[in-house]
Amino acid sequence: MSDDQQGAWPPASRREVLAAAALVGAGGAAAMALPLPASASISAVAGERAWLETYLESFNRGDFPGFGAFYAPDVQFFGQAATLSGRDTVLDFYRMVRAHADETVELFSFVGAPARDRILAELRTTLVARRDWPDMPTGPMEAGDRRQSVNFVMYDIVDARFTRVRSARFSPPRSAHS
Amino acid sequence: MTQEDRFRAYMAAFNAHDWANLLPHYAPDVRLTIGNGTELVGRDAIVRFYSKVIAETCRTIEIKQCFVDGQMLAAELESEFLAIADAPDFAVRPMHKGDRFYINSFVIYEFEGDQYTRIRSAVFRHEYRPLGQDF
Repeated sequence: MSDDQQGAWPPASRREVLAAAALVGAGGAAAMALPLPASASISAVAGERAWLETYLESFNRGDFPGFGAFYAPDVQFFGQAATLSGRDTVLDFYRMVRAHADETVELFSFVGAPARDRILAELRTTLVARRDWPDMPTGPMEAGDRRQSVNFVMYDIVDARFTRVRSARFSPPRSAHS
Repeated sequence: MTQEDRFRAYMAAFNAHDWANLLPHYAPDVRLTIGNGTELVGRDAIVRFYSKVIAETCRTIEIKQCFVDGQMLAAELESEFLAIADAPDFAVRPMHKGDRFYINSFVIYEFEGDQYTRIRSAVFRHEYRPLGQDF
């Protein structure tokens, strides 16, 4: 997606969208669950760890059809600074992020519900700016800058697709004052 | 008792400030990271921290959902703190008597046997509700 196309982004403001990208961040990657990619043969059961890993691998490759297949058409996507609705909107959002930065997500912890209808994942997102990004909501980035965050992402799953993705920022531990 | 049942008992003890029934849920060297990143290490640190919290606020926690996978339990919690006195040094933000603070959080509990060894909380939504405002 070109910069011009970014200007047509539906949500209220470009800044909000960028905020969502940054704050949901890699978590956003996690946030976008993958319905089974049409282009891949997936043996994993939806809702299990291997299934989420497939989604994340597709996300990290920038395989939009692949990771996009994990989203329900009406997926609700909740970041720290913006709320997005619908698979196409989420994918456009990530295309815009990719225009500014390389984003990769690592899975640290996985907790799946026995019914395979919910996942809570601990994800670390790494953003590396591909170019100067002066209006990046969490602070300007210059080309080559690297930024990381850890998020707990709750996925609701219906029919092997994410219907709701909610990302919560995890703050790095610091000692309490005695 | 399932881990989910044990978790509900743990939260009931927490809401009741029932230290005698609460503390055995924690491993002696438990590490608890609350939403703002503060890490409490050991049972005594937890008691000290929450003794101050309950002296300033009335806190209720509701379990929205919880599930277990292996040695971890995931929970979505809704907490509300009602300030029962002015609390200028409250952990989240300064509060005046009568103010409320709402937090929706995702929490990962790691356990060994019947004890929590590590607890980490991330805040999904929070809202400050000053006295006199309807929400």
